[in-house]
Amino acid sequence: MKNDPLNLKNLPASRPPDDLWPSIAAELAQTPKRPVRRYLLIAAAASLVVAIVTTMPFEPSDRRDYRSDYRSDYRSDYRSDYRGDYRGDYRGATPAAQPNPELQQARAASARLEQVLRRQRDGLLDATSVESLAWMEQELAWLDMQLADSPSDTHLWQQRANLLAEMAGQYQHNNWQTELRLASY
Amino acid sequence: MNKNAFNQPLDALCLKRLAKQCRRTQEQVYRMFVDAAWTLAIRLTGCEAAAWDAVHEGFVRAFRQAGQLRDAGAFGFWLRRIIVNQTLDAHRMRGRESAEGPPEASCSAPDPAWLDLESELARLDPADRMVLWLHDAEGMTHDEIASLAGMTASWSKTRLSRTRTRVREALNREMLDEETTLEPRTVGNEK
Repeated sequence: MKNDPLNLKNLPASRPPDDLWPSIAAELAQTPKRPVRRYLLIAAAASLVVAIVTTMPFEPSDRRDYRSDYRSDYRSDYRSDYRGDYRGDYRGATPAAQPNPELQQARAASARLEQVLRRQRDGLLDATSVESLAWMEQELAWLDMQLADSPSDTHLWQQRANLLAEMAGQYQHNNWQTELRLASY
Repeated sequence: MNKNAFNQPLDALCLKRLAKQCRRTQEQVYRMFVDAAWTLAIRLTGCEAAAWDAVHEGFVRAFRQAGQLRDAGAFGFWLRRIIVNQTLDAHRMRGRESAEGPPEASCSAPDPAWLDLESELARLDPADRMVLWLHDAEGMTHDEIASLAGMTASWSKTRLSRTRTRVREALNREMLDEETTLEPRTVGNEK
């Protein structure tokens, strides 16, 4: 008792408020996290680049050849060539090392046809072609939406390539008629 | 309740988890020390609002800076030191504010429902109360109290002696007052 002559240790205890811990926890939750080390950021960026590169669609190196072939041939029987060549192209000429050759072929054909269409869309169109092409553009948009959800669906890619081939044919047919009409004046 | 529970040791693993800001460990450690921390704060400050601030800030600081502590067994004493420092800072702030304006209403008047000793403690000067409580209830030495307050050991000794005497006198006075107020009633009842 010498050290506590007033008997302070026996004073009644006072309970801490129940909401004290939630308040402390909330304050601690606002503590800034430790700064992320620089090498972790670099590693994360490198992983992202690798992920993007490995998931990019396969682009064949013979794209240029295809375009030149197309340019030389399309003026003759463009429609049959188109359908025959492009479908034949993407179904037959794909490296065997790819895990899903059909998917890679469909993607490659799709990419090639996009290039062709980019040029053709600048030309003149008659009313009938506009209507059918508008419908096909809608169909293309719908397919792209489906592909956004399932980017590895081979069937969808094949559908897209077929549709693009059809559109390219439609554009070319329209250009041929336009050119003929212009020549007759 | 063990009011001097600051001597409960933590193990090294627990301290490591605290250093990693593990919320669950923080809560466990909080539960271990909160009674001791609250008792200390309420005795040093004399009011709940100030005790809340001291304990809240004390735990937040202790948990945020847990990585700096080397000895897991000393966590409780370290926390106590932080809370005492918080209380001292609050006293200094309040001292400055009261010199500039009106005193803080929430901490001025002791609760009349308190026991006599508690009432006397609440009426004491903050520095006197701190020395008395830290020495008599927490068992700290004069050197430790002096280092916390930034004063000398003899300052702590003088304060302690003077405060004990003052509290004793006040308690005796109250006892005498009670006896004198009770006497006529007792006499009246006998009649």
